Amino acid sequence: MTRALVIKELRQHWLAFLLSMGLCGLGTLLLVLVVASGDAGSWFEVLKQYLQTFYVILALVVCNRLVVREYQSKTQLFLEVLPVSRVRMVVVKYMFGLLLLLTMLTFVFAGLVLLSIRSEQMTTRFLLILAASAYAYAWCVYSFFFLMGFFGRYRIPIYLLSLMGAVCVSTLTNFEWSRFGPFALLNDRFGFERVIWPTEALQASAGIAVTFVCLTLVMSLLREGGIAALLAERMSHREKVFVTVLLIGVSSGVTALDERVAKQPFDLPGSVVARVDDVTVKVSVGTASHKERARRLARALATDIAALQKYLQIPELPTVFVVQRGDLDANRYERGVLDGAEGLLVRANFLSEAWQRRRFQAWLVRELLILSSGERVSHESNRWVLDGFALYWTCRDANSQSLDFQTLELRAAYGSQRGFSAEDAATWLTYCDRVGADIASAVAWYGLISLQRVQGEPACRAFVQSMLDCGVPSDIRAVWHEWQNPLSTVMLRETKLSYDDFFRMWSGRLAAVERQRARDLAGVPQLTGTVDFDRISVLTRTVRFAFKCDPPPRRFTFLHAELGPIDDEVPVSDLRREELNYGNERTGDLPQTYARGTRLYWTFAVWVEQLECEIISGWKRQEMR
Amino acid sequence: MNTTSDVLLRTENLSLSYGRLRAVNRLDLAIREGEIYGFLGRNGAGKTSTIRMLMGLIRPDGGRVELLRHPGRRIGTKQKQRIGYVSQEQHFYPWMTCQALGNFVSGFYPTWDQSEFNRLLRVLDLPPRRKAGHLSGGMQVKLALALALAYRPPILILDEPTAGLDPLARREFLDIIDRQARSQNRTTFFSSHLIDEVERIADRVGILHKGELCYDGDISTLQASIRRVCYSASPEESAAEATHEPVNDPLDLEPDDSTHEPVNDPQTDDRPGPARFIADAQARGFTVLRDDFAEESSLILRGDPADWDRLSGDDWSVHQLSLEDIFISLTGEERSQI
Repeated sequence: MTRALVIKELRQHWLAFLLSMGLCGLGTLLLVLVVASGDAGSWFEVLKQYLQTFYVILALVVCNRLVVREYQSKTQLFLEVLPVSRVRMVVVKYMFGLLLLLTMLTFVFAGLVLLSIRSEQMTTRFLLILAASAYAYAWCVYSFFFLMGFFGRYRIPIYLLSLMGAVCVSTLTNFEWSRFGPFALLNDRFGFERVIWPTEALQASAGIAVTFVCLTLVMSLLREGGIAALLAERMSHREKVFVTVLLIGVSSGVTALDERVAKQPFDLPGSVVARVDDVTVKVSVGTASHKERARRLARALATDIAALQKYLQIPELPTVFVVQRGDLDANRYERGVLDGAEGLLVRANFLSEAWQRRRFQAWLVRELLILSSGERVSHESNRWVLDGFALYWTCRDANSQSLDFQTLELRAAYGSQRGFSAEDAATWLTYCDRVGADIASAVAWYGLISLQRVQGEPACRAFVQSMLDCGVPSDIRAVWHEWQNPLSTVMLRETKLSYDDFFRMWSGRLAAVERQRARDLAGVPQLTGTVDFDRISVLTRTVRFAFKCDPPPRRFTFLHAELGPIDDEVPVSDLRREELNYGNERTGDLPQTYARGTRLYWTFAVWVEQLECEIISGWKRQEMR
Repeated sequence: MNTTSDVLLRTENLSLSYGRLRAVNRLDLAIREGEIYGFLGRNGAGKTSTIRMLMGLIRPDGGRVELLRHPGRRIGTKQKQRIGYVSQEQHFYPWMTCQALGNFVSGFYPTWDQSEFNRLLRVLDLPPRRKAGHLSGGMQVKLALALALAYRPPILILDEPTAGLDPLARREFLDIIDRQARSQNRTTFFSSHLIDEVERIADRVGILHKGELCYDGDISTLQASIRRVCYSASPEESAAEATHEPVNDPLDLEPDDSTHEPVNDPQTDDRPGPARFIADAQARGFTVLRDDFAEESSLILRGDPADWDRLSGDDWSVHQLSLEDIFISLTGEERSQI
């Protein structure tokens, strides 16, 4: 009987299983190549990644074919009529799937052992620890998906709810999934642990797997298998609507709960504190001799932020923590991560001689608004408003004759000279990549200045208040708010000016200032540069760059970073800077080597005194072939 | 009374409920060896639930099943290997051919006879290499029958196998069942709500109504025990009924002091129409199965076949009923309630 059942399963699913396993095998080979080119430290990193990705997918496919398809097509009724018990029917399916997946895992495991045998010392204990962890995790994951198969049409909502529940638990409590049961088996020590058995995690995983198996038997036998058969039927339209509403409701609830949960207080011991209205700024300086400078900075920042709060009518702003970091450039700032705590932590070198407080304030305002709005205001389509407002706010007292205003105007003129269109405003990050963040911010600032002058300060204020509204909840309601309040609608509502008219006015005024400042712009250098990748071996590359600037600067900078697989905004802290003398180093090589296929993000930059900022040749994303 | 030795399938007090609904209520059945037993009942009467209990697919709430002289609460795997079963709907793997299905099913039955299966495929005109998913409804039922007979089970259980078949296919199927049962002395238990097919091949019938067996026996005995009695009242009698004047006993039954109590209950006396007739019939041991007096001036009575001749009177006539009418009388709702 068992033989007949196994042969039936093989005949029914061999093609699907072969294809899935083939694809997962190819994926695993890719993982091997990725790990080979990286610095993972162990080949068994591939095993870990295989178990976390391909194995899960494979388990999902296998259980779907073995359980869900059987019950959905009602062919289990045919099996039930045959002289075979339901328990045997389920056990044969369970064991068949488990053995299939473990066989595939064994191949991967054995292959990696063969790969590692030259580079790592293989002890029996090490292999046993590794195998026990991998197989216990695999058993647990498979048992979970097999059980879920019996929930039929509700399995996908259950997956989503489980995922939300897991996220909820880890966000709202101190519980760490990475230290629990099967997840703990694949922790950072996986592939490196040679001595200590992960006994607790193994016991927990085995317990969970056994529980899943028992629940599977209960589900399959409950009311003579009638419950599983009923659950396997397709969802009605009403059920689909209900499940969708439930998922949206739970997701909103979790987000709302996350917002309300009291986060741990963060503090900087020994820092200087300044409080203005509801705003608190704490500055930590380290040595007592600089306390006075820290106090002045704290006071200035608190006053400025309190004014900002009133101007934008923000109900609440987080505490700002500023930490002195002597190793940072004067005009580079870093935002710290406060995991599970409230506040904005920033690092800056405010004791440097070259420190510019106004520049720092503009950056701080931007970061504060991003944090307070739950990152809503940093969406690309509206991003220019945020970037422009940071400068608009910081230089709000500067008149058109002041040095700050003149500098920003020249930057805006330079940005216009480099080309600026409506599409650039919509794809703001691409424009920033082309001209640099400082120049792009000045262009945006000029847009707000133009709006203020044409429609008046109250209209401009109403517009930025609506666009940078920090009172919008940062959950699903934020999506609704964005949908209801696109930039063009807000512009028309608050300023009585259509977006097209505004943009015409903005670009027209930019063109005018470009003409007015043509003489100043003539002195701004023209930058060009190339990057080539030299082949050292089949898999290894070096980077060679060549830079040209007219008029030649004294120094220039080559900025670069390695890109991840997904294109995203590259944080400033990830950028590496090569400061070079133009006279003798306008071509050069980077000291490090790269794996073939690495994507490099690069640009050349030159400091321009007239603009009081760096200009760039334009960021490029280039793959090493 | 059936002797224990020749009964292959027996149930005692078999009961099953779905929540508050009593699907099968204390069912007692006894099917003899070689017999074709027709299990009749309206939709929802409890036929499929009974069969699913007989097949061990669901556990009864109470009672027991004795199959092939092995009593128990539930049918085990070994016993299932000796039952042929054709269900109401077929759920074959659509990707399997007829031959592949035979190969698959053969793994579960030690007595599987491949040559018999091949013969049945030929006899039933089933293409061995055609996939089950490509077979018509009738062919699928035939395939189920071939699969059920290929291991030569002593008992064949069929759950409304002809539902959904066209008349020709139904006749052909019933012929096969009949031939198989007669030639191999196979006990056959088959459920249906179609009277003609039961009438055609069954030796005995059981009529299930709301989970209870309301008849179990030969068709001829059943037909002999139920009659329609029609009445054509004269205008004078109707007027007399209306003024509550006494009329002659319409049954004209011979007085029987031991059983026939005078009917002087004011409630029955006050009823118009056949009130007195019904009261008399009941008092005489007849059961009124159906009161159609208001519309058709007739009653359907059940009683001892010997008593029908005792019914007389110019205004009364006694008629024999078809099995279908009897089935409706036994299982249908009272007309007044419809």
